[in-house]
Amino acid sequence: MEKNFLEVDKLQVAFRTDKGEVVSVDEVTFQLKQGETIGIVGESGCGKSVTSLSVMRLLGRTGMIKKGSIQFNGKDLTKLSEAQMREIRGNEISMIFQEPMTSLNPVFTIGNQMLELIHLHMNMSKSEARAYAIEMLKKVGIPRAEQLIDEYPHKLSGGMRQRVMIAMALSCKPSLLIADEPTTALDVTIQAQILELMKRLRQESNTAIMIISHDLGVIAEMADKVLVMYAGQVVEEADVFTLFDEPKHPYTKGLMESIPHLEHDSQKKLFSIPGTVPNLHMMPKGCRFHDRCPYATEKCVTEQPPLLSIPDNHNHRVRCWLLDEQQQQTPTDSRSEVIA
Amino acid sequence: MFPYIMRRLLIAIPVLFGVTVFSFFIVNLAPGNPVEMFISPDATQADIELKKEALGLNDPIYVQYLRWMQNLLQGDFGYSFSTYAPVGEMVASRVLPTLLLMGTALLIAYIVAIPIGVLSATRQYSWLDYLTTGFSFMGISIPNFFLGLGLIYIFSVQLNLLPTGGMNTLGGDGSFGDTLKHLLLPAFVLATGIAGSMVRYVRSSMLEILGQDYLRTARSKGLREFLVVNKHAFRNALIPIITVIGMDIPLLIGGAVVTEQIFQWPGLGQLTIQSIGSRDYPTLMAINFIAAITVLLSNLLADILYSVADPRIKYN
Amino acid sequence: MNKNTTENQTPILTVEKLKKYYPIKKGIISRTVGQVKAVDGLDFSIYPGETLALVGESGCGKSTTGRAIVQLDPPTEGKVVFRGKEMASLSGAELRKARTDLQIIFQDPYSSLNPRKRIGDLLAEPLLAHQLAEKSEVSKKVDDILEIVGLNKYHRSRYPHEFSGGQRQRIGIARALILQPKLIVCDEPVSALDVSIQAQVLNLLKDLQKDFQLTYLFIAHGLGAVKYISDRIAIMYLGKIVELAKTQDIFKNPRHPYTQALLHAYPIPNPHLRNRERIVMEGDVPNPANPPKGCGFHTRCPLAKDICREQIPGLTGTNHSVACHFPVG
Repeated sequence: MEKNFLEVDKLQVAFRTDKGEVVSVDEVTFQLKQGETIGIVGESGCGKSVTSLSVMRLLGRTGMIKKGSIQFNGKDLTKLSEAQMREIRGNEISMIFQEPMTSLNPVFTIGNQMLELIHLHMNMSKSEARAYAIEMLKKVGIPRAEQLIDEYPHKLSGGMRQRVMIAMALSCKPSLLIADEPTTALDVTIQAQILELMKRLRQESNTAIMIISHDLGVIAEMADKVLVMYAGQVVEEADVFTLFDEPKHPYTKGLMESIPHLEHDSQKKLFSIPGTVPNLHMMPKGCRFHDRCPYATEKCVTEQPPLLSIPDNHNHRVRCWLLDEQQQQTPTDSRSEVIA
Repeated sequence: MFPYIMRRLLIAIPVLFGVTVFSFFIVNLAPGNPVEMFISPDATQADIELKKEALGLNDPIYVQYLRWMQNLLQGDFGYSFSTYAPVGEMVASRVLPTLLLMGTALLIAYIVAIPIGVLSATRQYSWLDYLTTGFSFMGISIPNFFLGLGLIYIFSVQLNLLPTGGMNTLGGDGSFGDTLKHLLLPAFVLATGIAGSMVRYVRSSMLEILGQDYLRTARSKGLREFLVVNKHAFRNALIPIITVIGMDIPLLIGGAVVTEQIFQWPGLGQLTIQSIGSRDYPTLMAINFIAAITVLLSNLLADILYSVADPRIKYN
Repeated sequence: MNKNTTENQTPILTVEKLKKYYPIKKGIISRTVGQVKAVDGLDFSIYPGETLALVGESGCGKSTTGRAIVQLDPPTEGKVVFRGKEMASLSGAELRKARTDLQIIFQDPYSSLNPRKRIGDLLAEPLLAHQLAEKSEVSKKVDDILEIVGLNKYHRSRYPHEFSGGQRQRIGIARALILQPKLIVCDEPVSALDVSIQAQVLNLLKDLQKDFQLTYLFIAHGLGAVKYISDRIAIMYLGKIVELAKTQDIFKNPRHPYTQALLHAYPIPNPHLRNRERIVMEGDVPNPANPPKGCGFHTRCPLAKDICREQIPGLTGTNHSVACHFPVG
């Protein structure tokens, strides 16, 4: 088995606010192997973007990593100096974002923005770098790359801009690409193009990908393994097939049931999780999902469940007391109960 | 671009015409008339009437205006009522000193204010930010006459380091160093106000940009924070700043009436005060006319610069 | 839900040859040199009690259509006939009445509510403006409507920023509903919401439709929600309807190549299907200011032939209409 090249261990991230410090990501642990794709799924405010930004150490002036470590190719990223981190950003780890329309600087040409990165991390002459940038643009399917390299971003459509972002992100052959909702702002047909492109490039380059999305469809298309996050914590972790075939956490199940899928009987009511995601300032005690969970017990209200492996599959971890009880009692398939 | 500029210039013609009509009538509304202002107190009523007739002041206002316009179209600004010198030459001799004074003031203001504004925005809510905010409000609120007189008192009267006014020492060598000495105080006084508002403007413009997604992209490339701020952010913040600079350009000509008066600077501002005092209509009209052209041209210039700075804006 | 909505009934809303063009100006005297054909000749009817969905990618003209129907942005050409009356010909009291019967809900619940007004006042405002209730009744009506959309009367003294996205959309729905409309144009009402909240709002819309005999024109860019809520679906591309049929038919038997590609593009939340055969459409939607000659879709269509580059196909067929020279199936 291949070694993990990224190991995030018990990561805790906090932000300074007017109302004091708030912990936005807590006890997040995961590993990633070369060429593997991990999907992080959850609703807005669940901490999935913050998790990815902490790997880049781009938490802004108010954010900080409070606890835990991020081992990347034998270095603990949380302990590196800012200068050492800059060597890694855009080079060994790169990132693409949700809004292709605003992720490129409007006053510099595509080429200018690409060459800036290439010159920063690669030893190339001006003409070599330009030729290389054009080659990268062609690789991501930009037509007339020789001309478009001198255009400004506003001349391109959203899909094309996201292609430019991908070309840029892959320029320095990173070992990890973080894609934070890369297709959320795009139309469905363009989303399909971008996902296909990412799959193809992943095959060619063996780059590991961390893809963040609120869309279970995108996760099912792309990921090898999945983290489900809720209110700043990982509530379930499994390989993609196990997760979709046998979701264990009530939140994961609820999320899957709420999607109106194409086979859905339109006479039947759509399942919905009641209530809303808790506010970071007022995290519920005990299990953070208990006030929206149909199975919540006394224990869920008072005690926080740990993320534990289930007995028959140690790679499938769930943060739920229910599982604990199920293991002690007779295990039942609770899927039908959730729908009821 | 070219058709856009042409259209703007065409639109400018009726605007300019309107400005001249409006200011001609306003100037004439002021109580008193040029003859009463400069004729000796013991002149008889008949003398005054004779003078008025000679200057054409008894004609209806629209006739006076048309006459003025007719001369203007031939490139003639007329003769001053108070000095009888050709207005064109008089104004021309005043343009250079004003350009020198205001140019220096604007230059000082921008050189000081832009980096301070950027710094203040990147360290929002730090003690440095509060300090610059305090100073910039002080710069905006201190009246120029007060600051001017204060500086004259300290540096000229008490310390005797700098001249109290004028542009050159009387009977001096007229060297550049001598002019520079005279320039220092008035330029500084003017710069404080301009710099104060510029700091505020740069700061708010930068703050708006600092939250943009593309700066996160720039950081994620591994760029140094210095470049993220001064290349990626500043280049964008510059776009609205250009508009403000464009609006400052007319100051170069209009000058600073009060400051020029205090420092006896022989510029257009001082000429304006003098010609208002003597109801010197031709001179006032010429100054108005030049000011109007400058405003129109600098607005156009600002818009053109805007499209140069922001590739998303294309005029056609 | 009505199963046979399309037969033997008078439509509540009929749109005929609806067009919305925006001029492109150029030159020294700003002369109009072209037009962006945002909506280019739409014909469709909505029957009482049904939900018709308008689906398409950004720039296809779906939202413009919605706004044109409620006269927020009146059409350039064509008729909007609502309950037997042409909207453009109405004036005074009749127009005001039509305006209360025809409401719209917007995508962004954050920006469509005045942040400085309390919820109670926001909801009372339309009632008072249209003089639909006595001063004394207003407060009760507001309480009732809050209850109906799943909020409660204690919310009335709060400001919009105190609510979550889903709750704000409920307020948007309440504001439309309080006038007791007959037809509501829902302009992407769930696109900005989280998945679990989307389901809540969709369920609410469906319940309200049953309870108040509402008719919906449901505008969406994705097919997921539409599948759940609509009876019929109209697929739009470049300002035109390319396919219009019952929901099941669109999903089971899509006939326009664009509809097919759209269905294929949808990521399926089932990893076992990730390596399925599918059509991935190349390229972007053409610029509506400079649409291609002939069929608007021919630049991306895998089946395009010469005639597609020359002639615009009309929307044909009664129950399952499609605008294509070579429809599939």
